[in-house]
Amino acid sequence: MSKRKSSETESIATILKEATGGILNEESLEAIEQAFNEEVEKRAELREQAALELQDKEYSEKLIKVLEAIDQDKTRKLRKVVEAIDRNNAIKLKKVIKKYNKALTGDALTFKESVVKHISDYLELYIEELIPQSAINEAVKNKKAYTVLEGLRSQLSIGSSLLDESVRTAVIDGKQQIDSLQNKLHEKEQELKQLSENYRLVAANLLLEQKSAGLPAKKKEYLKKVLGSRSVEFINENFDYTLKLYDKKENEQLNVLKEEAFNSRKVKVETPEIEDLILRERVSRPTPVQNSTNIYVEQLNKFSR
Amino acid sequence: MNKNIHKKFLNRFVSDILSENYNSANKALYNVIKYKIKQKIASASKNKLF
Repeated sequence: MSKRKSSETESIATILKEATGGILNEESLEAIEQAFNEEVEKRAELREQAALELQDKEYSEKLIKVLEAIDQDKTRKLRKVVEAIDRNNAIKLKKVIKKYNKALTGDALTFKESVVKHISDYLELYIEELIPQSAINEAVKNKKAYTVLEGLRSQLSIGSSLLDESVRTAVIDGKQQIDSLQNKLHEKEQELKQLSENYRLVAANLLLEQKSAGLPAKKKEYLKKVLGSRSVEFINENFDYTLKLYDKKENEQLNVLKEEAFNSRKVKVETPEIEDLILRERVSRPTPVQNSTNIYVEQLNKFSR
Repeated sequence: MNKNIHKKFLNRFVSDILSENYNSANKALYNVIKYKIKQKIASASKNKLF
């Protein structure tokens, strides 16, 4: 380019020298040539810049297109790769899931059962070592014996205090005291009973005396015989009845005596009808028991008629 | 019945141990030992000692 420029510069200086016919001196020609060259260089630079800018623009557009194309291609390829990896991983994961499911459901359960069995056996042995079956048997036996003894104790009324030597004497002494007091109480009860009985008899006799105060001696004796051993209430209830019974009995005795006197009289009046009647009556009614003072026997005779 | 309870507690003990739940495992172990001893006492009572 510099060769071309120098050739062009030579040609412009030559052209001007030839055109002016040697009017312009060498210095003017050099100045013109210099100005011309500077201008040419300036313009060349401007053109170069414009061309470069244009080129940059074109290249960048092309580059963008190329990059986009590359991106699209890579994206497509990457998607395919990702899909392939996903599929592969999914298949592998499914296999892993299956394996772990199997391990969890089958193997883990088997493992757990075996662990349970081993621990159970171990605990069995450990407990057997610490607490042997013979010791447990003995303890159970002791417990049962204790229960039986407790039952016997409660059945035989033997308290735990009796088992103690120091308390036994006091308990025996207490028992003796209780027994003697119970005997005394029994005696007192007997005395009280006797006194009550005596009081009842005295009260009954007093009442009988009061009630039979104005009566004849024979009646009084009869009343004493019948009601003497009775209670006050009985005497109150049955006094009048006994009195009436006595009167009735006395009347009957009088009638009997009258009949006897009538039959044994020396002067007899012929009254066969009356005699027959009396005789018939005597046959139909037997003579009451003489000297019978017992009211109950008399009542029984009445009922037997 | 005791046997089932003891097995139940033993299973719980193993589960608790595997899940690192030691407090619960401790209780379960206590119950296992308790029911094992009860079983022993029951078997001793069944034997005709009297």
